Amino acid sequence: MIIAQGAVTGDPLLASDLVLMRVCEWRLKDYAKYRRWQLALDKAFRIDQRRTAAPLNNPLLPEMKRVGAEQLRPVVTRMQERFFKERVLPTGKKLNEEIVDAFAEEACNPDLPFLNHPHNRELWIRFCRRNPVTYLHLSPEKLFDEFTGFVTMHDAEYVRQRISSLKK
Amino acid sequence: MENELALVFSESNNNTDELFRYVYGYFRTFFDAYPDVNVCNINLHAFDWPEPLLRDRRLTGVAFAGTLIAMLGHQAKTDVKLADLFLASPLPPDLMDGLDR
Repeated sequence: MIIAQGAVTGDPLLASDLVLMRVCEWRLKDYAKYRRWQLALDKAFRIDQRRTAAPLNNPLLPEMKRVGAEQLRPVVTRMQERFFKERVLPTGKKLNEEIVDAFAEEACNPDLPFLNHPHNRELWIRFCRRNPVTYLHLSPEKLFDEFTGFVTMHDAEYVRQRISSLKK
Repeated sequence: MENELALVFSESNNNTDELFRYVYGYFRTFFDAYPDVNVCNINLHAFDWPEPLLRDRRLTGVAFAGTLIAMLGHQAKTDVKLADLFLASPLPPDLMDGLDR
């Protein structure tokens, strides 16, 4: 559990005295586990630093997509209504900034924890900056796939397929 | 929207053993909704931990430990209340090995 989690959650796991004590014991008595722990942390580090793609094996991803899309639905509707004309007109830097600002405003809503969570909010805004107008056209589910693809460094279609396969 | 982990945290009144038990209980119930799933791959950062808990390294560590023991209980498919067992005595070697892995 601890070594597997080390590869996912990384160093913050050491906040736990339980984990720290186990690691100290491996360090003294069990080189194989200690080495696996180090490799697990290295994997988490490479993922966090976006040096490598994150594995899409979180069994809760289908549920996260369902809840995430549910929270995104009213946001997408409001954004599409607000920028209705701009969806078919030529775009500019100013408009892109307006869309990002509007999205950032939406992400401040504490009733939408998927967007509002401090870690996610920053990622969402970075994601939104990439292609603000294009994202206005997407359904909440597709937007979730695009966002997850951005965060995990995978293609959105691959994300969709993986989430679909995790449902089975 | 109600943050269930914030409720769990507030009920513990900053008592670390209580926090450990409550977090364990919360995640055992949560994981039981996914009986055939390998919960080891769930990122602990993905949960909506309350800010006061994240600001205190000691409490964060206790909450993470409660989650890990809940994961262990789920994977070992045991009905034993591992939180109480863990607080009372060292885990048996087979469970300890499962915890390490």
